[in-house]
Amino acid sequence: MTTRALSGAIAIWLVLVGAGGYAIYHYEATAGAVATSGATWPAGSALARARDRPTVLMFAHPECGCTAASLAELAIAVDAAAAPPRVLVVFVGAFSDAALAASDNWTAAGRITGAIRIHVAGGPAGEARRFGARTSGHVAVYDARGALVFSGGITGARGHAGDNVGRRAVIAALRGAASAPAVHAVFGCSLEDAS
Amino acid sequence: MTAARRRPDELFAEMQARTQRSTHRTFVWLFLVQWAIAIAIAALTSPWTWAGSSRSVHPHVWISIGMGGVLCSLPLLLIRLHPTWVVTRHLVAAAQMLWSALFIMLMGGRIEAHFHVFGSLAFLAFYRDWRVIVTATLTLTIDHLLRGVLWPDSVYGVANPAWWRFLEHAAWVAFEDAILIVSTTRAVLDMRDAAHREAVLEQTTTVIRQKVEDRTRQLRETVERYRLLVESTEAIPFEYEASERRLAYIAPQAAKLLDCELADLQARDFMSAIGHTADRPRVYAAVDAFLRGERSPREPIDHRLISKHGRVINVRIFLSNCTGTRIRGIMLDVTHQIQLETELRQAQKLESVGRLAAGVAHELNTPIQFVSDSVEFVRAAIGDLVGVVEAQREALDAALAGTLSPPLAAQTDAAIANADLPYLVEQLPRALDRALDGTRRVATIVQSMRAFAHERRERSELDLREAIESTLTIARSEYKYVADVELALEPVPRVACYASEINQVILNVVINAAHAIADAVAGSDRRGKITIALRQVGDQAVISIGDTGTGIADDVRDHVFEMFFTTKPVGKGTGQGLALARSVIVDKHHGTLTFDTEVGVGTTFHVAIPIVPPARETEGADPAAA
Repeated sequence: MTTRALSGAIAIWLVLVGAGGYAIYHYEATAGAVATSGATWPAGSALARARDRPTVLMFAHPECGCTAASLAELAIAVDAAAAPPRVLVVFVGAFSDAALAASDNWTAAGRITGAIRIHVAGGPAGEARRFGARTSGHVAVYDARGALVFSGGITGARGHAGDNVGRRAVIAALRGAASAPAVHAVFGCSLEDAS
Repeated sequence: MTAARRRPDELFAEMQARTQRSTHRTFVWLFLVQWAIAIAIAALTSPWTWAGSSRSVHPHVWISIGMGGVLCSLPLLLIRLHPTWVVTRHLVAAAQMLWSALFIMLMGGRIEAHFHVFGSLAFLAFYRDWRVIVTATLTLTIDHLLRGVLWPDSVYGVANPAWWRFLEHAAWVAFEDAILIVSTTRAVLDMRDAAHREAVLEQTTTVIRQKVEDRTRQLRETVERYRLLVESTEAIPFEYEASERRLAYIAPQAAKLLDCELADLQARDFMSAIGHTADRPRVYAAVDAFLRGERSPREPIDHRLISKHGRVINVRIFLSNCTGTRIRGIMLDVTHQIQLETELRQAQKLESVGRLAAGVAHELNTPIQFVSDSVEFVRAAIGDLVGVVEAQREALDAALAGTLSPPLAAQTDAAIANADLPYLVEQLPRALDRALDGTRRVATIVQSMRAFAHERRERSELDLREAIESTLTIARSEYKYVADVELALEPVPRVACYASEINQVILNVVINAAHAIADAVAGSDRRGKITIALRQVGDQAVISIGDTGTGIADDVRDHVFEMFFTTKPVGKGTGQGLALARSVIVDKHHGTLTFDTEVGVGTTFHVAIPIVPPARETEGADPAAA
């Protein structure tokens, strides 16, 4: 290999490395879709909220790898709350109970303090869309009066656990420190089938 | 710069090259393993990405495969094509740090994933090149700077790290860099020292190797010399394992001697198989005696072997030493020597006979002379007597016819008177006795000669008295003018021996005695004395032949039994007599031949012969008879 060929090879290699890095960054940092959610607890929801404390919902896909980070962040946020909120982890989709129980996310959700795991059907008429959730890891926090105080994701990127704006907003909401409804991008798999 | 001075640098370069090649190999495996692990992590933690209930392969899996492939590709290609290029290891360093970045990213910026950075730097230190660590650190710095600004989550795990997080990470890396650069520099110094030591060692090794080669060559030459010596001589060295009755080694010339293959020689019982049946017990007995330490290495074992072609080979074995049941020795083909010895003995005998012939002829002549004289006298006397008888018959006829005249009577009386009848009556019997005696003496000499010359190849029982007397008879001419013989022969049993050879021994010693006396009495009218005694001592018959000769001088006593050693003038002795006598008595009859001597007084030889031959001798046969 000549010096020129070597230089060319190194240049190509660096371009490929840069391109790969950018592709990773692009994928990891691209948020999922978010539907419009009302400012208060949806009236038609079959889910019950707490009247004496905040209610935290997370809509999750049982098999989504990125949601594991979201669940971990949720656990931290719940533990950081001023008082234990009502926590509902809503698994969305047409999965059998056995498949659901075997999933890592179902197990991780069970470890969150006071969390109640619920399985609901997906689709436009489902509970997820009702709360504006279209991407796994979507969190909605309602105060005791049923007003929305947070809506969005609680991870900084796909599958990236760690301190981030979303988590901090949830903690602030659970501590009653939120002044206005906060919104954060959601990173995870789609809760809805591709059209 | 001389080659010797350059050598440490060359060795250092070789060591560096070896180290780099070895580290390259490590990174080849490390890259491949990292690639596999990255794919495995992606496949295990996030194999699928979902959209509702439908799924597809998660981008992490594709990223692991694609990005891993890119990171491995160029470094592995350069390792393969240009392992010694500097750029190769720097590219490896950069790629390895990008692997760290990929792992940190794949693991969500987890702080534990940063350990991969420290491990990678440690691996890169294997190159023992501090510049590689610098390249790795620069790569890491650029990556952290870029991602820290654009996408801090992927580096620090949080979206909004404190401003000093970069410095914290950099400090840890700098700390490890410092350790690695110091240790790498020290390792390089150690390697340089090692190169220097190896160069010295190489030089020393070269000198030693040269010496070893010289010594090996010398050893090989010595071995070859010994081999040629061992394999080209008539003496055949061997090593015999008695417990296995097998030759552990025998020089290859034995195969030629015994008309067989070398491999045959080492077969079990080979020597027994080719040994002469009659000799086998004696040989075994001798070997056993040697193993027990009862037989001297100086005692040869003579026996016969039968070659594959049926040839009888006389061999003489000298056993030199043994270790356990392993005996070493040499074997000599003495077939020709034994033939020569036989011929020599015969020649010596003929020489004796030749030398004695004149004396014997004289001995025969004397009795024949007086037999002749006596017969002549008898013939003359008979003529006289016939004349008397004729005169008396004529007188008788005349008397019967009545014509007897006084003159006739006087003539008859004169004839009787002339015949001297009283004298004839007296002398005739004597003459006949003398003739008879002479005839007997001739018969005795002839009988002695026959006895002396009697050649039998096997043992026979010999009356030593008769042997001595016969020998004296034929040797008489040698001593009768200078010595008288005094015999003191006691009765002893007949001895089983080789008779003609014992006769020869007695003759040789008697002749030597006569010569010694002749020297002693030369120029005088003195006569010496030969004393021959025969007696039995234990199970031996001992013949002592003494003389009053000159005695044997001190300086020749040790040589008297040596072949061809003689103090006699040319024509009188060949130096074989006593040597052959000793061979006959000691080697053949297992007896002894010793002497007492005193200069000016005389010498007495003692010939001791076992009356009954030793068992080992009787079991075998005379090797010379082969």
